[in-house]
Amino acid sequence: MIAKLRRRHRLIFPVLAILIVVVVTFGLKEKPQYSNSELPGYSNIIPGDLVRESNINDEWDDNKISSVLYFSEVGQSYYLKFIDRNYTNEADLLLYLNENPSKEISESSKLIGKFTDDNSVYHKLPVTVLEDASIILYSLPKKRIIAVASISKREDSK
Amino acid sequence: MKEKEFYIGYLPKAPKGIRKIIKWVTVLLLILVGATSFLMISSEKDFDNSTFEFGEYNSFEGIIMENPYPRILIERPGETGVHPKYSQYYLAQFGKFGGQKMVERLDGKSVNLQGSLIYRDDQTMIEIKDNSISHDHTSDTDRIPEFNSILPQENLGTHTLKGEIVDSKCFYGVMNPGNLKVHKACAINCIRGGIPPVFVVKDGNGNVGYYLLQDKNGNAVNDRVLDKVAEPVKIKGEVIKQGDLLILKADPASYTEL
Amino acid sequence: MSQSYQAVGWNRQKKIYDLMILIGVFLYIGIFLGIGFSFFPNATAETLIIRAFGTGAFVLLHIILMIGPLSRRFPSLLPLLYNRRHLGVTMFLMALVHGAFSILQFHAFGDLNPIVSVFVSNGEYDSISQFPFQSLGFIALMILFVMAATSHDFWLANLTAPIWKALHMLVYVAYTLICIHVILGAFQTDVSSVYHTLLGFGVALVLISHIIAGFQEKTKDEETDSEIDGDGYKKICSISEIPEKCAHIATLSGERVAVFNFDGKIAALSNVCQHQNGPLGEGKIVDGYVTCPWHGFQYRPEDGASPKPFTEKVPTFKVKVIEDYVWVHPTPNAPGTHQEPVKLEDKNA
Repeated sequence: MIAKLRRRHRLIFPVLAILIVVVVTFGLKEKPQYSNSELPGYSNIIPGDLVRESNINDEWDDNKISSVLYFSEVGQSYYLKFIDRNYTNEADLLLYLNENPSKEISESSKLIGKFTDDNSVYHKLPVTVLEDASIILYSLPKKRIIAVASISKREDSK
Repeated sequence: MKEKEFYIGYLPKAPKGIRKIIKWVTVLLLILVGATSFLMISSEKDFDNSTFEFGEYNSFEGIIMENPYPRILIERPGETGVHPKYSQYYLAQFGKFGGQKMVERLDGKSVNLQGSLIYRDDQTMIEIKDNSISHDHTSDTDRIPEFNSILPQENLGTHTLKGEIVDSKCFYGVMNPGNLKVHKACAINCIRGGIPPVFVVKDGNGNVGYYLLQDKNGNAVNDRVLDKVAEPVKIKGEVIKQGDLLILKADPASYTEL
Repeated sequence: MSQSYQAVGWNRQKKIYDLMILIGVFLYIGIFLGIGFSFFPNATAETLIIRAFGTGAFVLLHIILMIGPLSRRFPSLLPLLYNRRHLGVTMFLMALVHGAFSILQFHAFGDLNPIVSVFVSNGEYDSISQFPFQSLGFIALMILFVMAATSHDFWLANLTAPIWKALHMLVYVAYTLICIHVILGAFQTDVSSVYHTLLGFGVALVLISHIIAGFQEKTKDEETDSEIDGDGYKKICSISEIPEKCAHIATLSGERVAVFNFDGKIAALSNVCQHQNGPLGEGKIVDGYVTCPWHGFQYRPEDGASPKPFTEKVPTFKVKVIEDYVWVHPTPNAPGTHQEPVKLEDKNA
């Protein structure tokens, strides 16, 4: 190129080079940092005397779900905790309990709660005795049962 | 002395020595290009688990709750016991707009509508299909149902939360990522268009909370939060649980940048 | 140009070049999207396309920017320079896909005109971390558009080479804007440090190669310091310093002059090709014509004019040879002026 443009080249270049270096320095320094926060409304009150009852894995008809059943003597309640949920997202998943082997949702099905991504939640079952029951994972907007666990009478802890 | 090779582009072939060099340089460049592409895509961090059922429509029947952000309340089957009787889904329309116009004058009414689901974790939204809302006028009563009775409210006290304001439509599934700097302009456009602004909060243990933003009087805050979208923000306010929905009530002017 | 010259025709070399460009683009996009869709099922198609074409265009821009400095240092790489503008247009098209998808995704279907939204939806121009980086990307895209649109030789001829070249030097402004677009955009999120390293590496390559080339050119640009005789002629070099059919380059009156040695004759022309201001002195005499090393433009050494039907002309310079030394008068003749080359006497030992 001609000399005049070469000179212009030599002037522009350091200006832009310095600009890039300055922006890199400040840009990375100013990157927003998100702090940890409390989560009111998400706390899960867990009884202190929870005893591990059994694994509920094979009972699920979907082999990607694994969960554990706990029992509290004081509260005389069962708690269900999910360990793994390696399947695709689904809308508004609700957990239901049938106090019979039925795998359908009916007027007598009892709502356990919402099923979320949070695997630390202990879902309190709305019954004190658990025999020949079904736990159903149900998508309300799709009106579709996603998975069912058939729980036979609990005799001994596994 | 061998004459130095000279390249003339419009001749059919380049001189032999130059041709050889260029062949190797080209192969090297193509390998570099492929390797760079591989490096770029394999360094991507994983994408969030959120879904937009674009083009798929489901039918819904429920009660419209217009304020402060349009929602539909869908009754849950069976015995709900201590849990709320209704699930709540936000309502939006096509594009960067909330569902306000579509549910005007339908507050408290029972409707049928069709729409596409948008969901993430336990949060759900419906993008209403145009002209799909139908409302049976014969079932109207004079009284709007008391929302407080069908969706009990619980005051969880005053808390200071730190997180990011997102637009719930993109974040819950329409875009991925639907948050952070790269999505900021879109989030501002969506919230300005009426999409409910939600405060996404993390506790550092991998748990995430979603808080619908309202002002102290329980009104919508869309236009007042635009300058704080998609950046780290601290909000001190009252946390209310309405059904399963968590709400953070505070004056937007009091939000502070972290 | 000799009869084989085709001014803007699509010749065999260009076809091979373009094929390689196509293979490169398919390779990059194919790998990116192939792996993306397979291993990131939660990713939306728009996001992957935006990232594939954005990063691809930026990688290509780095390659384009390296060609200049590298071919100054390694003339064997001049074939890469020959058709560089096709690389530039390809890069613009990839950037356009990135920009169009981004505008559609983030700015369309709202209450604002999408282009207006690019500039006003995020109004935090006074912040670094919250700066509306998309505005910078848009401006860079406009620069690349102007460059792509004027890349045809038609514009080169009408704007004249110096103005065209000055316009195309905006590529450096575009490059800077894109670097800042990435740093104030994607780099403000939680991206892998691999990207930081890659960008740092790319910027360093471009900067260092240009600085080295710049220093080399700077020393050449210093006015040739030598004797001046009574008639104003400047002593340039000895004949033995000029290889047959090649030239020695000197700087006279602020611009470079090429002194050619061919068929026992010496002639001096402006070093500046009228096409894109390429260095004629780094070229060769082919079929009796001074041939530019960049695109093969040709000029007669006797008068600096291109062979018919071409009309380009460069200035010639008055030359004399005294005792094996070449002397050139710094004042150029008007372009196309006939200046008889000096015949070298047959000197026997």
